[in-house]
Amino acid sequence: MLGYAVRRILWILPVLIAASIITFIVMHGAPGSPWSREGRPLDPHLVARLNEQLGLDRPLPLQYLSWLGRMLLGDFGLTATEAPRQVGSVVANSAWPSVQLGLMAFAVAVLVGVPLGIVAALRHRTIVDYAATGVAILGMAAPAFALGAILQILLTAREFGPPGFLPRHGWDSPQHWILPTVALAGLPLAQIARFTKASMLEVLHHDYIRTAHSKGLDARQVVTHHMIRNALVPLVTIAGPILAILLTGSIAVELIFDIPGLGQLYWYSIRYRDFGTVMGITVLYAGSIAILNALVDIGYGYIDPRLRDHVMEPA
Amino acid sequence: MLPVDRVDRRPHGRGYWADAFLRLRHSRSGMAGLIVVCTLALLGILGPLLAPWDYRVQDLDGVMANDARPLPPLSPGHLLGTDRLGRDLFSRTLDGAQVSMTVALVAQVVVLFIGVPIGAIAGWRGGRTETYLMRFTDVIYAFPDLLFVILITSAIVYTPLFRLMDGLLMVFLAIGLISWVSMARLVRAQVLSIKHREYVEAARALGVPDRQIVLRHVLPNAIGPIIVGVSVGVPMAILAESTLSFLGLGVQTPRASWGSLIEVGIRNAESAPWLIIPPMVALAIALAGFTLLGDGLRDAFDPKTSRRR
Repeated sequence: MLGYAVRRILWILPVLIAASIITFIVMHGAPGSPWSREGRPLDPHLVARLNEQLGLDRPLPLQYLSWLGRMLLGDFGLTATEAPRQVGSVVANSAWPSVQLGLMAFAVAVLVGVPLGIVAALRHRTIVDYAATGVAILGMAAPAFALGAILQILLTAREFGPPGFLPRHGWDSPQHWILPTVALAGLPLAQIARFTKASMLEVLHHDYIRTAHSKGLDARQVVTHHMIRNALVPLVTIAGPILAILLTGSIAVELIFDIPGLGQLYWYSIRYRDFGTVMGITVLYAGSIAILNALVDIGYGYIDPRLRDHVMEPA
Repeated sequence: MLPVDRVDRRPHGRGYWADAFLRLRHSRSGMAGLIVVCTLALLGILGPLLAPWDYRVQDLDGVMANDARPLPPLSPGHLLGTDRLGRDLFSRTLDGAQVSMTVALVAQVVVLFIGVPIGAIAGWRGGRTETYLMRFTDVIYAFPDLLFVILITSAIVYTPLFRLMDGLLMVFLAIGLISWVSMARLVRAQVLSIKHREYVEAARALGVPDRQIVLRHVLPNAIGPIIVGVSVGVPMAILAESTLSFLGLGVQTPRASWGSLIEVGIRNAESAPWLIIPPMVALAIALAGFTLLGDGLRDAFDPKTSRRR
């Protein structure tokens, strides 16, 4: 088991390298360069100096290898901008708003989604189920960008509420956090609720639940000890996709609400061909998802011992 | 006692699919979803015939007569009004239906044809095969779906390759080639949990070839989750397409997507607030419809969960 866990974690490295190679090829294969400016070309001497400073004048494989070598030592290199800065510090500066937004949205999604799903399953085919499912359907029907757009138009208009209570743009105060969090939480919330409900219903009819009931166990105990514990296992598998939804949703939400986060940075870095920053953020995104997936796989063996024998057997 | 070969082996009652359809018909929300989806599919196919205007045509005379501002809803000839270029909003929303339905269909076909075999082989074979296949999917999975699509599409957004079919071709490829991964993982997990069940052991003990065990015993028992997976995948594909188009990386003008129409709506929220409503409503109805149908299908294909004690 331990051996499997170690191997699974070591596998993250090749995954990251493959991801960075794809990104490198896409970025350098794309037309344009960091120095193309519409109507305002940069001084050729400056371009030559910048290319030399950033190593962009060297052959591509060499560029990649030197980037990889430094990345493995924790140095993400310089941004491909007119005034090169450390990618690490640029990314770190933008990371906090995104992490905060993502965590708040995730918390809302789990804290509302899981109970919603459980209640819907326990009260299957009743008015409670229909209400809970209705909320989940609404969340499915309102992707982050659409929800963000409509919330922004409706709730920041002067006609509603005290003016300026819910600001239109920015990330400065808790008031700024409300709309983006709601916009981003909608879809994961709905997915978690739906998944929880399906999983609970699946468990509901297993023999061991009937046995637990017939043993005379307290209904509450059956629900908490037997049903929820078993029903939440599959939920772990959608942790990766949920994180991905949060990451990508945050691009649209950050652009709509002008939040100085990673999503916006990534977006503009691709636009302006800032190779260094794009590579850095890609590694960060891919790394966090790869780590999460590894943890899910390992955790799955602990939670569901039935899977341990064959999932965990040495590869 | 009857000799073994005289036993009536014909299945009694209805078949698996007929049974499932019957159960779907009993689910009110599932039928509502089915109706919505069929209506949207019809609108997607017949859109060009139903649309009062071509989605590209600019009614410049109408807009000029309105001081060069977009026409509001219920204007003569434009039920839902027009955008700033005088293009009929109703017709453009209809074109968006065609775009969304096409994306949904194409992406899921790609997902089924790549994801199911890879997941099944990985789960069944185990060992090295599984390791390599799953690490391969991990590499793709490690890219947040849309980020990868955004990376590729924004890198090539103004090139002739991207402009093929007004950006549709790239959207198909990008979404299809990314979203098979979750199907592969789902199928693998299913196969893993099924492959040690007694009926599989029994088939194996009887000497049934692996290929047949997977096709006859394992995958059919995983069909419920696979259908649920597809039913999650369809709205996800529509969502991905509309998000891309919202960001300006998907379907390109003059073609209309609900995502790009919403983007136009948010830009003109002050001067023409009605522009955002039709595409938003259409997108919500489509996503809700597919979701409801998916729920209905899940209940229909997995009677264990839908039977009420």
